[in-house]
Formats: sequence, C-alpha cells, structure tokens
Amino acid sequence: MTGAWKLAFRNLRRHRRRNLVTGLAVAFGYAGLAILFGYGEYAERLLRTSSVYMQHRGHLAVYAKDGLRRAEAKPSAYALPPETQEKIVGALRADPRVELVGRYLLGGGIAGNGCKSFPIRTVGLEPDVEPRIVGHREMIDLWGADGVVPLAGRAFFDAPGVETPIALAPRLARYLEKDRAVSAAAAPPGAPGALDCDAPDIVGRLSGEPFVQLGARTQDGSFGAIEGQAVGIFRASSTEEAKTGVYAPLEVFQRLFDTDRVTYVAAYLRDHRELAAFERDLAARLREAGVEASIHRFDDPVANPFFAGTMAFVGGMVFFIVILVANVVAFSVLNAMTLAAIERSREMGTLRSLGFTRGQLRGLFLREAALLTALAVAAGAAVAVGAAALVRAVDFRFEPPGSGTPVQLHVMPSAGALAGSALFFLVLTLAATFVAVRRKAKARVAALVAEVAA
Amino acid sequence: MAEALIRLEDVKRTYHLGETLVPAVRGVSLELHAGELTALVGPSGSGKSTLLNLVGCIDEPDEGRVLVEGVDVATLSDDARSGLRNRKIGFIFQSFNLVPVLDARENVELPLLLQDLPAAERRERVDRAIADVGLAEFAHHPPDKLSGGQRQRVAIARALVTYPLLVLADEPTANLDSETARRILDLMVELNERRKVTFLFSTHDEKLMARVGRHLHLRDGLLVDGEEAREAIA
Repeated sequence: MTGAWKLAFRNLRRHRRRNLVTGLAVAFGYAGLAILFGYGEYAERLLRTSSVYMQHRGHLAVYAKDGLRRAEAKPSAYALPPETQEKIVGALRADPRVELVGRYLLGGGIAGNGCKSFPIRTVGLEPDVEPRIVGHREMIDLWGADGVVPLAGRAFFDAPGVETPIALAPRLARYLEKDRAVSAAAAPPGAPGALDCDAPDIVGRLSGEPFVQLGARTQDGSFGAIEGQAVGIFRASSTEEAKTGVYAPLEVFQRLFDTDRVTYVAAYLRDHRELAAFERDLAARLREAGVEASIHRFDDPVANPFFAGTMAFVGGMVFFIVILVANVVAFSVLNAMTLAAIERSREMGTLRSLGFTRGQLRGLFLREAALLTALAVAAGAAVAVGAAALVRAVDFRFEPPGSGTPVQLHVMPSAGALAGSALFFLVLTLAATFVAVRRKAKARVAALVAEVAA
Repeated sequence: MAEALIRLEDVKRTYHLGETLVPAVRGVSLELHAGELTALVGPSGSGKSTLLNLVGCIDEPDEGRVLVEGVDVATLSDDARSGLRNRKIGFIFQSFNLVPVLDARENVELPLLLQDLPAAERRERVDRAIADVGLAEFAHHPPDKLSGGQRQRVAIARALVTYPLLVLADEPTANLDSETARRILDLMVELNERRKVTFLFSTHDEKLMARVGRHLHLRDGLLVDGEEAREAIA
C-alpha cells in the first residue's frame, strides 16, 4: 500500500518517548547478543584452530579402521602401513580443497635425564609440513607471530645438523632439568658419562646439556631406546600435553618404535566450511581405492571430546542467554505495541471504515515494528562494534582452559553474526507485534470506532 | 423505481453488556435511493449510531439482511466488505476521527491509497475534494492545527474523495458551534444538490432537520412515523 511506510514512520515519531524506551531495549539486547555471538564465534575459532593446528588433528584425520581407539595399544594391527599411507596421502593431495597433508605417529614411553625418568606422550611429525602448520595464518591471527614460535630454543624442524632433535613440553622440560639446556647453541662435546645424581651440582650439570634418553616398547614388543637432543620447548595445547609431550621428526619416533607405520594421516583444508562435503567425498574415494579407514573430523565427539564438550557448553550458555534476552525484548515490544493498539483503537476503527483490511491494518503496525527494529539494530550494531573495539584496545589476555598460551580476548561479531542477530530480532519483534495487534484487528469495526482513547 | 442503493430487511442488533442484553435496533426495514439527503432522527439511545453502523457495513446484524446495490453484505468476506466500504461508502464521524500524524491533505488522500489509482489522478481528486469543502489553504495543516469545523470539513472531503454511493454521517455537527454546524449542513446540502451525493446523517438537532427533505424517525430501535415521533417527544 502506497504511503504505509510514511504512516508507520510518523506514528513512531508521534510516540517517540515510548518507542525510544522500546528501541533501547531492542538495541541493547541486540548489542548484547551480537557480542555474545562474537564471543561464541571466537571461542569456536580458538578451539578449532587449537584442535586442528596445535593438536595436529587436521580438519579431518584418517586412521586405519578402529585405529582411533586401538592404534596405540596394538599398532601392528591398527596403525597405517606405508602402502596405505601412500593411498591416503595420494587421495588427499589430489583434492584441491586440501591445503596440507601430514602424517603422525603417536606413542607412549619414558624420558629420562640420567637421574630421573617420566612418562611421555610422543608425537612424530613431518618436519617439512610442520612449519606450515605452526605458522598457518589462522594460528598467527589468533596467537600472533610471537605466539607461534617456541617458548624457548628452536622448533625441532629448525635444527640442522642435529641428528635426533626433540622438542619438549614446558613442564616436562622443567622436570627433566632441560628448560635452560634447550637454549644452548650446540651440544657440549663428548658423552655425559655416568652421573652422580646425589652430587650437589647435579642440577647444573643436567641443565648444561640437552640430552634426553627416550625409551619405549616397540611395535613388535621389544624395547627401543634412542638419545634425543632437546632443541626447544614447544607451546603445549593442553595441560596434560604440557606435562608429557615430546615432539620429534616422524622418522625419529619410527626408529624408537621400530616401525614404518603412522597412527593417522591428517588433512588441513583451505576452508573449514567445506569439511562436511569433503568428508563425504573422501570416504567415497577411499572406498574406491580399497582402503578400509576410519575418518574422524576435528569436532568428532569421540576423537575430540574437549572440543565437542566445550562447544556444547558454550552453545548451551549462548542459548540460555538468547532465551533471556529474547524474552525481555519480546515483552518490551509486546507491551509497547499492546499499548499502541489500545490507544489507537479508534484510529484503527477509522482506518477499517475507510477500507483497510485486517491484514493492511496489521501491516501498518508491523511496519512500525520493522522500522523500530531497523533503527534499534543499527544503534545496537554500533554499540556492539564499539564495545568489541574497546575490548580489543584494552588487550585483555587470558589462558584458554587446557592451554598454556595466553591469547587476546576478541568479541568482535562477524558480519554474519550481526546479520543473523538482526534477522532474529526482526522476526522476534514482528511476532510480538503481530500478537499485540491481532485481536484488535479482528474486533468489530463499529466497536473500534466507538472506543474512547485511553 | 430504480433499485435501492441500500436496503435493510427487518434488521436487528442486540448488544451484550455482561449478562444484560440491550436491543439497539429491533427490526428495521428501509431503503435509501441515489441522490437522497436523509436525516435519521431520534433521541440519544434510540439506535441511530447502530443503524448507521449497519448501513455502513462496519457492524453486522444479528438478524435480517443489509443489501448494498442488491448484494447481501453477509455473503461477503471481511476483505470484500473492506473493499466495499472503501469504494462505495464514505464515513463522517462526530469526533472527526482524523489520523493525527497526517496533515489535512494526507487524511483526505488516505482512502485513495487503497485503490489502484495513478498518482496524478489521486492528486487531482484530493485537490478537488479539498476545494469542494473550501480548505485549499489549510491543506498542509495537521489536524491539531485546525478548528473543529475545519476538521469536519476534512472528514467530509475524505468521505467524498472516493466518489462513494453513499455518505454516512453520525451526528456530524454535534461537536460544533451552531454557526459552524449550519455551514457544515449547508455544505452537505450543496454537495447533495450540486454533485448528487447521497447522504444519510443522524441528528437530534431540530434546526438541521428543517433543511432536509426526508426524515427517518427512530425510537427504541424501531422506525416510527413522524406523528408517533412527535408524540414521543411531547
């Protein structure tokens, strides 16, 4: 209907004080939700990046059938032999959606310094792929350029001339008295020889040399041992890893475990939003290639319960707050529009007598609600973006649960979150308005005309 | 004789006030023809407004039929009745009932916005209606900047702008001083004579009644003849 928006706008202006209050409720509700969604998106991105890159799960990991559950207990049967690795790597590299492919060997054993030994979790990684994973733009976006370099020393892949370079997790390095040794430019000459662990200068001696003895049960059941040279301390992605983690080139740990197998092959995608389609295609391709494999996404609750559980918690919290905010906003709008409908009963009757249908009458009020929401959402978006910029400027840092590395808090909502929240509020206010005016619009025209304004 | 514009056949309307039933119109039959200027006369509470509401299709009878150009209004959907009101019936209310956020001209234009008219034709019709009621210089005044008489003129222009078959006016002069009331009635009489606009208006003002050819006397929800009405008043 021509002129309906003009009429709606003028009615908004006419009751500007009441509409201002309602608009503020909508604006602050919207800003709150947009910031909450911004935080939710940030938490998801943080956890995703941590899972995919820091924990080397990739967006998707291919195990031997049942390998996720059993590869470490019985690697001879559930780890991937070279020919299968080749097929999987080939299938992954053939897909243009894949940015990087990495092979990983997980295991357990002990690490000792000659006096003390500790249980360890080993991760064998490919030295030529690892720098691109650690230095991935998503990692740098979140942790910054300084946040992706080793905590001390060098990365294991950045140690030319060292035969068995290993990187230790922070606490493990401390337990082994190697937290200062990793900064040594080169190994001291000669073997350390027998140690007197009760000697008063033992800590100094241990921290003066980088050698760590690693022992493990090989995949054929015998005992394997190598001497690693700690070259750096890496940033652990969880508290558990900080106490037990050891990184080394894949071939070093293959030597330790006396195997040519790997636990899984991970694929890193260019765009994580393509994961579902990619997973389907890969499963089909592997079936065609005759590879019996288990595919686990980074958000698989079995493979990554921390991610799934935390996201479920964040999602539940966001949902709860959304319900609260939605109720406050819906009742504010309902209240304002009910008052408007009562006050304007006679006007509604007049419009009906002039020929407005019930739908056209409701349309007028819905236009008012839509305009009010649009203005409030614009103001709310400005508040949300301003608040998020302020949070960024304050540079508030925190350590995410399970991570030893502080990160900067971001709550800047994405364009998608802003648009999605706006749509949500529009639907909410329109629904509340519809409920508020529906009964009046259905009333007898004569009764409306006869009503005395409140 | 030509078919009646409006025909009411034994129309009844009762209001429910809590558990009390109040019969407002108790069986009225009447016909209105094109070009008539008819006054609906009766004391307060006699059912004048209810009868106008029924004729104007903004209320529905409990019994009986209301026919507009031979069509039983009860057979129409709500949207169709809205369309009928928009195209065939004009309303003038005692309290003017102008939309406060629109100026005089926009108020007059309002019913035309529901019709598929080119903007130029809409403008022309509005200009003419406003000129007919002598308000050209107040066209852009909001209702709260107009006097009571001017507001009622805007309401008349709004009722006329769609070229309706019938204009219904419920006590159109009740809220006006006597001079303004006389001018408004002059305007209605002139529009009836010059433009052949059919009017049905309710009033209990004797001076106004004297200017109108046809009187319908309503008492206790029933139409009575002039004699009975005079006896009732006596």
